[in-house]
Amino acid sequence: MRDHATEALPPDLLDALRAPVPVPDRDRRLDDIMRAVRTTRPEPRRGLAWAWPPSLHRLRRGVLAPAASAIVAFAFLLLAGTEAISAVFSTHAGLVGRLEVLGDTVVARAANPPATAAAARPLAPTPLRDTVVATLYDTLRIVRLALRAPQAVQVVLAGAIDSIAAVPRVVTEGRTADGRWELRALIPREVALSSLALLVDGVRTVPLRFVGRTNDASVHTERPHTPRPRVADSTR
Amino acid sequence: MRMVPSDATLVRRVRDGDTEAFRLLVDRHHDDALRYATHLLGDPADAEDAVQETFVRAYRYLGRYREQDRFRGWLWRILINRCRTLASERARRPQPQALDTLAQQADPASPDVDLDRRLLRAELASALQTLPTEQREAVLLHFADGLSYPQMAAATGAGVSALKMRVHRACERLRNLLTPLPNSATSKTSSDDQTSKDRDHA
Repeated sequence: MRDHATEALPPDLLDALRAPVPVPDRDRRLDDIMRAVRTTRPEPRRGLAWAWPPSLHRLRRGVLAPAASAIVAFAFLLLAGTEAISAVFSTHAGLVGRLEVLGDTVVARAANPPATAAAARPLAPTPLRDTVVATLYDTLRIVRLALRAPQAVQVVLAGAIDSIAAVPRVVTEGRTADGRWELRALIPREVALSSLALLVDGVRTVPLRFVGRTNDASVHTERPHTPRPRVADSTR
Repeated sequence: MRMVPSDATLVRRVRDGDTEAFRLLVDRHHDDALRYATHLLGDPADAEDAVQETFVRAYRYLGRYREQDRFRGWLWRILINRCRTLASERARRPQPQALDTLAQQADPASPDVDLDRRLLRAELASALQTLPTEQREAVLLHFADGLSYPQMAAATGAGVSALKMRVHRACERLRNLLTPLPNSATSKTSSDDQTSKDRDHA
């Protein structure tokens, strides 16, 4: 394709444009420039892009970058297998726990207690409240359990109750940035709770306020459960 | 036969601490840079300052230069920016009598330079100064330095279509401004053509 703009100027104008500008005493000018250059401190190199020969640029973009990504991903998977990483990244690992049958009771315990160092760390968990937030079908209640434990990496609801079906089941859990842990658990109303506690980093440090109490009325509640009024049987 | 080191080789040597290798780069690109700056700024003193500042900056920031780019294109980006800065600074201060300085720059080493050619250069220098800076920049990069439109786009940051339009308008204006020299048959013919075209348009 011909460039129309090139044809727009006559050849003598093009020659005049391309003609070198006369530079009297050229060597002295170059010396001046080099004198200024020598007094200049070069900026340090940025990154390692300069170290790649141009012939390897395509290789670096096409093959080496994905290979490096794969290596990083593999290293991450290796790290994720360790306890420390899994305690941080697995939100439900501690809440699933395992069940131990002690006689006729079932005890929920943390499946993977965190590292000893973490467990030995001084903790000052403070129970905030445990409340019954809802009652379902007259048989289950949703209990909200909250405590403040800024340094904890794992909080587990554990308890021993008198039947397997009545194992406290954590339905939601979460941790806020200021170290507040909150769990909601389904707890049967009618069962007798022999013990129920929060395990903080594998250590049973926070007995719940209604441990051992079986009477709903004695549980600290925001919406205390009021017994359903008996309907008088008018047919009698 | 002695091998001439490429720009990339020289840059690598400079990065390795050989400051004197930079002189070869300066020697290689100085004249073209000075021509561009002189045509663009119209003042040889300003052009000399711009070129010196360009090389100093190039040396200082050589760590940012990536080898897959052409060194000349990278250097020209610095030069263009420096010339723009000087042009805007100059616009704020009183204009020196710079338009005829190129005409007065007779080369004492070659006294037999054609007078017509020198006059044409002088007229060209004057005509260039009447162009807007961006048109002057475009026409110089395209015709004097031989950059393609994509290379110009990379150097100036403007789009290819915008650059084509600038070159087109600059050419039209230059053709209208430059009077044909008596001995320059080509330019006379071109100008006559333009005049007849203008007459036809009228």
